Amino acid sequence: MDFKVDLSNCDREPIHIPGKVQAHAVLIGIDYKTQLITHVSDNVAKFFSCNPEQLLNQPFRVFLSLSGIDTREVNFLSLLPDQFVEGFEKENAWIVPTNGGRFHLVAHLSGPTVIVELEPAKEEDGREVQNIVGSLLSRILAAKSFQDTLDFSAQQIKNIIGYDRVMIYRFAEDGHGEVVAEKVNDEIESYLGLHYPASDIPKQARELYKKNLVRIIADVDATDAAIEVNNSITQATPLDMTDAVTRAVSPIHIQYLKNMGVKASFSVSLIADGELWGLIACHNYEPLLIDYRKRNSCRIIGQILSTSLIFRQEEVDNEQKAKFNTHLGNIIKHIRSDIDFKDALMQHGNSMLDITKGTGAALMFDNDIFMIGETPTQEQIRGIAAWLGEFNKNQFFQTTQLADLYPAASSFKDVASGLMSVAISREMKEYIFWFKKELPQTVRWAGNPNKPAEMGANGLLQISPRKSFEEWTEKVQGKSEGWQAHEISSVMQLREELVHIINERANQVRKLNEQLKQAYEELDTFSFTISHDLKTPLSSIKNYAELLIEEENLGNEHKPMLQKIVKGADRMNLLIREVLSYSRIGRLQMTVAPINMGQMLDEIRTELLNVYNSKPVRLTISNPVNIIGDYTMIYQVFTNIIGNAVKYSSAAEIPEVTVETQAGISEVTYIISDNGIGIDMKNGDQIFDLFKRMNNASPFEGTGVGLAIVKRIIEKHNARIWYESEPGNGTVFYLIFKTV
Amino acid sequence: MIENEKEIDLLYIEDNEDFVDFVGMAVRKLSTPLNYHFVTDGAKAKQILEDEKPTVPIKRAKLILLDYNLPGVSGMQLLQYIRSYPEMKHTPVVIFSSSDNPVDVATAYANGANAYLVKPLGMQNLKDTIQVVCDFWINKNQRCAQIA
Repeated sequence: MDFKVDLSNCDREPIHIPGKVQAHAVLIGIDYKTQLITHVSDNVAKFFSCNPEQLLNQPFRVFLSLSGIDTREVNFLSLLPDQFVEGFEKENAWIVPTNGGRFHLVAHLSGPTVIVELEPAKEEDGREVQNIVGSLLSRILAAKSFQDTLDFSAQQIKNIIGYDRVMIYRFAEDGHGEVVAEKVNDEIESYLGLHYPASDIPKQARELYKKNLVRIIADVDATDAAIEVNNSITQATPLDMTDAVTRAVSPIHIQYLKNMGVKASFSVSLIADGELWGLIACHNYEPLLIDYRKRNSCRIIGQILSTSLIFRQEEVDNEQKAKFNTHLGNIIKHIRSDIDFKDALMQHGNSMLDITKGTGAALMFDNDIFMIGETPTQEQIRGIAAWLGEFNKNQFFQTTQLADLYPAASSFKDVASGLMSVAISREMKEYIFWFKKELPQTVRWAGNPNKPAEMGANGLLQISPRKSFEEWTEKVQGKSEGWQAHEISSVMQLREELVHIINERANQVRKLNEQLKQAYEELDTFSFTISHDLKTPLSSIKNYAELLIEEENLGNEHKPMLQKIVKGADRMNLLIREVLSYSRIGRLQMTVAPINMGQMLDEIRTELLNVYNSKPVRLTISNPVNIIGDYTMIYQVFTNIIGNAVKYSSAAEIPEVTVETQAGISEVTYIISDNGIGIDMKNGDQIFDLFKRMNNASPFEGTGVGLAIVKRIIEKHNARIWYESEPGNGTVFYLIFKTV
Repeated sequence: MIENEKEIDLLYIEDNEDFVDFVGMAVRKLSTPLNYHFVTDGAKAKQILEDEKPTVPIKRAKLILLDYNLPGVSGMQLLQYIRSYPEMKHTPVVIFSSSDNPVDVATAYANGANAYLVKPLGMQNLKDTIQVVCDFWINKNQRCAQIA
């Protein structure tokens, strides 16, 4: 094999067809059809009294007789007895005495070739694999923790193989590995907690680890034995040694081990859900063969451990899921029971924070932000929402490295490197956020992980196993723990529930709105009908009274009574008109525009002076300031207020009413004062109530509707009104309007 | 009811008999005497319109004063009915109502009313109103010629 490995092809190094076998083993290939030997490793003479030339192109029994293996125990036909049976074990193994001692003989089929591997067998040490398996199983079932299981498994492996170091090595999502458990001889430096870069184990090696659950390299310094081939038979296809247990190891890997100072290496694959979860990696600082039987024991331990990985992970997941579900259930129950959902999400011990492993959470709703746990500030959260609105068009978003996507987040990466969000409404910028802290921050690497390649002697970049395994620390920045599937599903569920309830409530509001609108319309019709129905008989009363007054035959003594009927009818007419006007303010469309107040006040003045033309009223208007409002309504306000001022001061010798202004930045205060009868301040706001007339007002005509109309218009304009007064000492009304 | 073969100047359709009287009195006080005729019920008005040989030639009335809120056949139904006769398509119809509901006003115009008056309060106001209305619609307004 003359394959040169460099950066461009390292992932394609054909490590499954090395054309060599490890020095401690002999490999023989037999063509399945012709039953003749096609491949022999060139080290066969080291173990048995025969050489490749004697074997190639001969039947397998030639080898059996030359090596002294009893053909009653093993023969070609017994190598693969059930090869066509479904579920056939990949390999068949025997322990056979030979004239070179006891050997493990392992046979399997590779394409058209039956591969037979022979390795020296060691003496049994009495430790039965069943015992180990039994105690491991009970230990796993009773384990206090997953770590305990790992430590125990590592110790068991070490007991069986007697290597200097047994590590359990776990792969992270990005392919780098971490030593999570270790049993090591006292005098040797521990690797526990060290991280190994992903490039230490290339992709195709990972695939092989999934196929060959155990791998031994008994001596990194031994020269591999080349496999001699009967050229007349096999030319084209090299022997596929994927399943050969003694397959020679990639020179890159050998170099890697040498750089580490390791002489013998052994690994057991740990597989969870079909993926390589990790390795039990064992090192010895002297060459040391672990024989086939012991390797098998280790493989079984690995398989049991693998099973427990899934089991353990599921257990942890289920526990977590159950916890999240309980909290989620409680939150949903609260939301459904009409509790304000802000409160439902924030309840201590059952908050939105408890449905994920997030370290902080925030609800953005109705333009408010509610936070729980460790979170960025309100301002920072608004920043995230603004960015997310642009960056992500989906309802859901998650990252474990927020600052990579949103650089502004680097200032608060300590609390929010991880972000998961669901939008309640993207349009309204209503979100729930969950945050995860930045992870603990230092990674101890075995060597510098950023330098997987070194310059070769020829000047080309070559993948070359790192020479330095000195601990090399790196700060990992701005990265949080990942968001698990059950965390995501629990927030999605919460979102569905919230959106459902919000829609439901919105529908209720819409319905209410429609009912309200209908009620308003009915009220409108009602007030018109009432006023019509009241006015018609009123007309009759007044008209007949007037006709009677004109009647010449009627005595003069009765005329004043008729006059009173006419007056009463007029008063009632006024009352009807005002009540109708009051009831309509709430529904009238406002046309808001700048109002020329000078002009309006002049008009009102003229009108009022006409009414009171017999009295010497002093009505002064100074500095009118234009305001913003509905012309007709504002006209009503000032007619009422100034009209009242004139009316209630009409008993004074000279009624004095002044209208002044005080301009503010965007508003103006109108001050209307009179020298009238005044109002007892104890009445407070009651003066604005419908039909409310003060005790001292009875000598004056009025309906008790005017100020109620004023108050409603003021409210509609978001303006303000109040007064200062004292009975007998006049009244001052203050009105503040917007000027822009 | 005034029996007269003469053309009707003012036809008042109103269920409130007080108002029928008031308007009658107001008409009598007018400077120019008018042929005044009234019907106190919408259904009756409709019946007269349908009559091929009516005792009263109301189809040729110069001005119709119509109450909006008539019981039975309402003012608006009657107005539509009036407008369905070609010879009355352009007869001035003035709605006379105590309601100032903008919805009523809009409905009246939509159905082809020529004017909408709110009944004034007080005899003097009523006289003034009738004077102005009759003067305008009967004396000053140019009627649309009958096209045979």
